[in-house]
Amino acid sequence: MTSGRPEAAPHQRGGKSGIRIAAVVLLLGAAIILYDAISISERGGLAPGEPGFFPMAVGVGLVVVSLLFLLRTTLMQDKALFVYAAEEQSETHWNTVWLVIAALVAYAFVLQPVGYIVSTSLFFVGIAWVAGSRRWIRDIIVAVLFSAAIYFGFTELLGVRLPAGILQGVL
Amino acid sequence: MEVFADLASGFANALSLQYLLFAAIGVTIGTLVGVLPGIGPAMALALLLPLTYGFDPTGALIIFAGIYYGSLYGGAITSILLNTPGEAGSVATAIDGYPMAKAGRAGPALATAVMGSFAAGIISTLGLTLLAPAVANLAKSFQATDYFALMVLAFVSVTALVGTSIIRGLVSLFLGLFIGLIGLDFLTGQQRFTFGAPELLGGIDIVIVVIGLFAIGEALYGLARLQFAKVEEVKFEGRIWLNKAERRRVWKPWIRGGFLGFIFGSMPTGGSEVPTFLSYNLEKRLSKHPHEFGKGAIEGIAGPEAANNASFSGVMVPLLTLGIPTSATAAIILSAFQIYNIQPGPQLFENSPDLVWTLIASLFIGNIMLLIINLPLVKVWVRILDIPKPLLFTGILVFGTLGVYSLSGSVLEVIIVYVIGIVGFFMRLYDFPVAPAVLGSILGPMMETQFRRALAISQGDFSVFFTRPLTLVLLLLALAVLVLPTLLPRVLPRRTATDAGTTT
Amino acid sequence: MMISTRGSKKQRTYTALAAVAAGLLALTGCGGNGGGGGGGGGTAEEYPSASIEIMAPADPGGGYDQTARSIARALTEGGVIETGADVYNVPGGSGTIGLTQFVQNSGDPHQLMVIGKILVGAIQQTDSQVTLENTTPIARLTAEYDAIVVPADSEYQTLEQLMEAFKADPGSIAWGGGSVGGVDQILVAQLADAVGVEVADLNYIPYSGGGELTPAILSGDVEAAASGLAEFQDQIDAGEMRLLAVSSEKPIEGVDAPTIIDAGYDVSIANWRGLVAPPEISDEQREAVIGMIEEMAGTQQWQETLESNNWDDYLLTGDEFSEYIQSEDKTITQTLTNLGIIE
Repeated sequence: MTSGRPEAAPHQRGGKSGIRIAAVVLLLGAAIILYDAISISERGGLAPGEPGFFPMAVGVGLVVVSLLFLLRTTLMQDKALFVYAAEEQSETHWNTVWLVIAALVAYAFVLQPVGYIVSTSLFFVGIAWVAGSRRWIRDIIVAVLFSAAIYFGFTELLGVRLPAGILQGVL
Repeated sequence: MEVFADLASGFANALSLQYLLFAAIGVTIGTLVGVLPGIGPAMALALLLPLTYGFDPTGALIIFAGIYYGSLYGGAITSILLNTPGEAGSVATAIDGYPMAKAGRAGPALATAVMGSFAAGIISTLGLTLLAPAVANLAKSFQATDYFALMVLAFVSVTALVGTSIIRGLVSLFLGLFIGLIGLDFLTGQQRFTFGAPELLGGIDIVIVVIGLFAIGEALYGLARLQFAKVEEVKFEGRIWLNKAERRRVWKPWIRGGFLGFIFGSMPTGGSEVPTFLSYNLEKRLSKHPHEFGKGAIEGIAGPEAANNASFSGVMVPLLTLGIPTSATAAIILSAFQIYNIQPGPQLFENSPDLVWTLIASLFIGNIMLLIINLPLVKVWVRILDIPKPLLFTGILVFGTLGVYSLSGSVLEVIIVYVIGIVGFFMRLYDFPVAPAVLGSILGPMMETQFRRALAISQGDFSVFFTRPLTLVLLLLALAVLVLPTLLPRVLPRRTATDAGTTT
Repeated sequence: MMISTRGSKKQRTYTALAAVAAGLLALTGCGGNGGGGGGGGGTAEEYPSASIEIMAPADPGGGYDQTARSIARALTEGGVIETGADVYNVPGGSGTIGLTQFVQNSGDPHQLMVIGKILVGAIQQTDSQVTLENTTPIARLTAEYDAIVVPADSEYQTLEQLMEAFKADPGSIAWGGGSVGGVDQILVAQLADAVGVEVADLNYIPYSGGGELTPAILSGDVEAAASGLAEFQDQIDAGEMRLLAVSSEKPIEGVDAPTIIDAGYDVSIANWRGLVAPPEISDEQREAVIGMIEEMAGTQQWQETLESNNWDDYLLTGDEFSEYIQSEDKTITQTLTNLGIIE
């Protein structure tokens, strides 16, 4: 395709590099999967009736489509996709993304030791802040009521166990 | 006919004011619980099962039917309004439901979902009433090769989900297939793609895939755009009723979806996911406006929602006639039966006809209640959109986490759902379709198991796939579905072109 | 699903009475904290001083789950304990996820877990770091037996005819049964052994349970099948399947089929289930738990449960149960190795 055409807007280049990174990450992931598929095949056999056949097919397939995708972002460029990605990226506030991801991971790890109500309240207020909400009082009230309602609704009415954590003995 | 006399006696049992009230309560609770992401019909039933312990069997079954239909519809509400389906059965609804809501047509979208559910529920329950024994016999004659061929047919039939770019669609599909392979190999017990984590031995639940790709991915996507206020406001234009054009477009999908859902639901590979995708694809193929699909075509909601609802009556066929639970929901209903010391199976219709006909009557009642309760509530549900965006997205993250945690009690699975959610976010950013991943992780394992089972039974002889008539017919159908859409346009337009040429 | 369903209405009242404080001890089970809650330290006389928490290491609805709920019901409704009993489910890893979580309740005699024959094999199969040696065996309680069935239109009228055909051409008989490495496959492997067929030549097709297996038998996909008698009972009664033999040692009352032993092959197998307590509980506490379970096994509620579920009373407690687990471990490991499932 025509890869020699000069780039128009500067933000379009942002779309390009982001999507290329995605393509490389995808290919790396596919390679790991293929590698594991090979070791499965070695243990289980590769004939159509054996455990290695489908993993191998999926591994090879994934590497092939990942390569094709990488090709579409480099040698045979998909212009429409670049325009789309550039627009999407310019509308994405990356700091928010990383903060939310960090908050999610932290939430998962403190959920059990700290307990459902406290960790969910903190998470809720934190994300609302990251998302740009500055109405502290409202957010804190909503967060505490919301997580307490879920906690009691689920443990008392539905019989699902949620961790009490540091509030154990108080609740 | 004798059937109708039996059914009438069933209605006589179920139609008391008290039971109608039960049905109404069941539908309401079911809808409320179903709205929570991560809590689909099966989970809702499992959670609410203890509530029914105090009731007589008839009352319990009626509440059950109500909860089921309610939670199914609850899933449609979030799919349409927020693009966060709670389980695989409502993924197809989100594809066109969310664009419709974004265009301000949330009212008609929800209305067609609830009315389609009702219409299909009635069709499929009639199917259950009249055809149960015949369909059960069909299911009984299916062998592994036939299942495999059926899966292949389903696979090639849902290519419409792949979307605009074949490469990106295939990436999504292969990712789904990969997720489906994680865990112990069903036929040999060998570990595959478990990377040493015992939590992965049992595989990744499809619910986790759906919550990750949709609820978590969508919330992340929404939050990321919030700073620039680029979240498209979902405005509600105030209309609930379908207009004349819409009415003309939905009734056929309802009926077709109803039949697809019932027939697929009653197969021993049952469940609601496959027929919803098939219905979506069928409607796109048959539609006069295929270009609208993915952008808010009302048929794209009408068909899958009808199929989703109808599959429940379908699932009841093998459950009641053969004692075979073919879906998670059916397994929970089976355990509810066992509380009352009732064993579904070939003798159920003989041993406890009262109960069976009461159950069937309660399915009708549950459907009617769904319509009566939820149609006026459409106006209330669209108020979800008035919740301030930061709180709404945070709420979706919290509920998504809650759904996964209450399903497994495992932090690792929560982390897995977040990872899948992050992948879902980037897929949105770079225009990868999400539905093929869901489909791959559902159909892939089924196809592999049946394929290898068939080979094991035949001791490695591939001819079994070509010597059994039913298998061969299904495989040829699959080939036709795959090849005809590309062949026909090449043959037909040329003919019309030459026709045009000769007439002038 | 982490669902704790209270055994009964009566029990709910108990739980309500025991109020939130006692009820929340339940959470130690999923909090994963090793402390084991406040109820662990009671002396034998006071036992139980808190609600009994029973883990079923599987989804609601299966055999482990039913056993756990039946025990909880017999404990409370049978009047054995006043403190209430809750059941919770930890599915995954064929039960090994639940086991790994359970042993973290070290030293807490109010925590119990349902185990069974399938778990013994699963521990081997999944290379679980935690084994049953990390638990305190309490009691074996129930047994279910497998049935060998063929479709109603099968040419095989007796087990002997089936086994002769199997011996002549092992690959031609596709055997259906439950998951890989489970009781059903072990039974079929032992049958193969008994007629001198190499276990490696066995053509065993696993299914995820009765829901998948039953249609495979009816459609003629498999020639014969082995699985829990209860799963086939209705189909046998309806004349859709023919029952050739049962896997118990003695004939089962009301079942019109010989045992495998009586049919001429020295094979019997019991799909047993029982209870274990966490590690590091004192001998006194262990005796107290055993005493409670023995009393439970004598209640009318429990006996009715056994009858309605067609479970055999298979009570064996304490040291004898520990030895039984060890011998089971040995034979199951041997069979799974022969099958090539474990190395």
